[in-house]
Amino acid sequence: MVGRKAILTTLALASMALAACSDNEATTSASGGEVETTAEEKIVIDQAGAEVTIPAEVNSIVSGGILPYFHTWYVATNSAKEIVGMHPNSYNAAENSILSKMAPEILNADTSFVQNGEMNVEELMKINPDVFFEIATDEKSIEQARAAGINTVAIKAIDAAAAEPLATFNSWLKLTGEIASTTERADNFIEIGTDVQNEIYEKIDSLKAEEKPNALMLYQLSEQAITVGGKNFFGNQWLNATGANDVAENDVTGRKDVNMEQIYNWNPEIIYITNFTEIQPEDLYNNTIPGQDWSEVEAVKNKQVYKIPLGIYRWFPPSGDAPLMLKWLANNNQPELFDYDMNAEIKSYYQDFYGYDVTDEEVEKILHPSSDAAKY
Amino acid sequence: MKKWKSILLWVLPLVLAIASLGIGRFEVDFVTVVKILSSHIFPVEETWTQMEYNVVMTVRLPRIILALLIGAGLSISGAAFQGMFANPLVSADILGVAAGAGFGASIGILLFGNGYVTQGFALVFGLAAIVFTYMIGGSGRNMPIFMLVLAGVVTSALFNALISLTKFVADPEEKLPAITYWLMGSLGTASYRDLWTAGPIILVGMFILLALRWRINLLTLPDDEAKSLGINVVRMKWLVIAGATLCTAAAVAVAGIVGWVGLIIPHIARMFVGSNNERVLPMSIALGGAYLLIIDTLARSVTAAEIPLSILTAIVGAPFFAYLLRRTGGSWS
Repeated sequence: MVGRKAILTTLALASMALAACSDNEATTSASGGEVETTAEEKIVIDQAGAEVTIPAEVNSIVSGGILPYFHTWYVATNSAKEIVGMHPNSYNAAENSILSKMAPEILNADTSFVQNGEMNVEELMKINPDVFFEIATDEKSIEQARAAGINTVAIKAIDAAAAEPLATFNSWLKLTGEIASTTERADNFIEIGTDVQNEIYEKIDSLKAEEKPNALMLYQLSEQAITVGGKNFFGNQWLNATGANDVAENDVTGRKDVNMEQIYNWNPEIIYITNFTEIQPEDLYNNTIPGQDWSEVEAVKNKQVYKIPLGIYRWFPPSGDAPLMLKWLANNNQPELFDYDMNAEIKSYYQDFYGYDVTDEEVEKILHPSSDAAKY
Repeated sequence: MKKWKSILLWVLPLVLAIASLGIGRFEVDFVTVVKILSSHIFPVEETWTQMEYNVVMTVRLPRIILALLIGAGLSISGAAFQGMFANPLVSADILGVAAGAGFGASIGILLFGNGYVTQGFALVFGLAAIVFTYMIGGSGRNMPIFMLVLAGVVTSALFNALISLTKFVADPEEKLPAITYWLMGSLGTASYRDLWTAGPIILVGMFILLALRWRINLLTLPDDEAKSLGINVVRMKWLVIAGATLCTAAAVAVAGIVGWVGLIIPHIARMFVGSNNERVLPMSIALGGAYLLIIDTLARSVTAAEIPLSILTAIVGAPFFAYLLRRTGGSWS
């Protein structure tokens, strides 16, 4: 048992070191850089390594299959009026988030260029944005859009920075800063995020694995499927960065369906539920899911089940609220070390960064998102 | 074949069932398993935790029984069809039941998410597919076999296209993986409710087929000859189809589409007992149940993530079947 724990500790430390390395790499290589600027045009290098020529002043953008990207533009520019089109799933997330109050014009965005998850290039041509952002893995759409003469920038998701959410968002933000010529905001965000990460890391650095709670990222849950996140997925990095052990780390890569027996085997002390499912902590407390008995799981017994918040975007994937997510997780994972007042943190963050006054009621909504936000 | 051998084959599923109660991701030692089981019959001092009890009684037990029933149901249906059509390439889904049930489940997932309604949809569409097949190919007075098979091909093609359509319109983040996963078959969240839903239907189907087992031999004769033996050929065929359809549709409704079992197990059964359907059908029940139980135990215990059944039935089953073919030269003992 002692030997196993020692191995676990080493693993945890090693993965942190790795995360730190990839962090550096991400900001230097993956996010690319500005190459050449003329009066009317400039060239940026996208995350797939392609050189993309774009207008020097970008007035309209469309965000495609890289679902969280649309709000990166807002974080980088504090303006949503350039967002003239986005994926329907992004639109739904925007509609259900505080972003629709901070920048109502975002709801004017056109979603017709994506039908049933497939891009229609002619609809995109009708919108004719200055820049089109698409997920790097969808090479077909990127090629199609470029062939149609639309400046297309490829954005990487899970592999932009080894599934490390803050570094991933930083890489998006940096590239967006270059495209929108607003690098100051991006740098500012990256600084805040890095500070928070270091602040938390200092306190949890010396913790041994047995001093950290065993936590589980419950990605989706229904009567017919229990889907959890593990290694090489955002949840794993979130937990490692905030003083918890990810129970699924050694057993699951990405996200996978598991059975109830496996949950008993892990017996997590804390369970986090993402916004990609309608399930709420109460569903586990009241044991309402037929055929699954959650009542014996440690986290449920001790009422340590949390729904992940939803602010400017869902907090589970890379988002503009990543510094807040770090603090929120640290509070829950290590209550003896951290005591952030989330209400005050959220208010001052939104005020500093967007000049927006969040009400108490809105804070409540951010911290306890409704199940509706899970729908696409 | 010797008598003790066939007794052995009948005991096999039971032994496997008890053994697999002690296998899984959550460690419960075998003594505890036996204690928990026997506590239902006579008083035993409670030395186990609530969680151990849950694992054995509410997670593993219903799943093991379902695996036995579904494996048995699909195998006997396959055996009955292979006998009736006198064709070794036929399996339980030849008449479009699986495709129909698959479409029903896909549409259920699409509209209502997973759950009770989806299972109901699978069952109803599975039965609807057979009615459809009947309307195309079987409503004539004589119902020649080739008409029936072709009608089944048409039905399968149509429902498979409709499955593709639901996958095309499904949301790629949530619904599409659910449908795809479902179409590969899994007992990952099997519960007693699933057991009470599908179990009785499968048992009724199996009973019908078992009751008809010696008459299925006669169906392979030319229709005139069969008639001269006093058999109502058309009614007979429909009874066989009804039994097999009940088994298949109920199995698909709770476990998704489990391939390969209904095709291969009857062949293995024939290698043991010869081609007399009177013996092939019961043997298919024993072998099919045992086979799917082994596969499902692997599916739930090899890795933390559930492995879809159809992947394992083929990957484990194909080499084994190849070995048997080589050894027996494909002859039916």
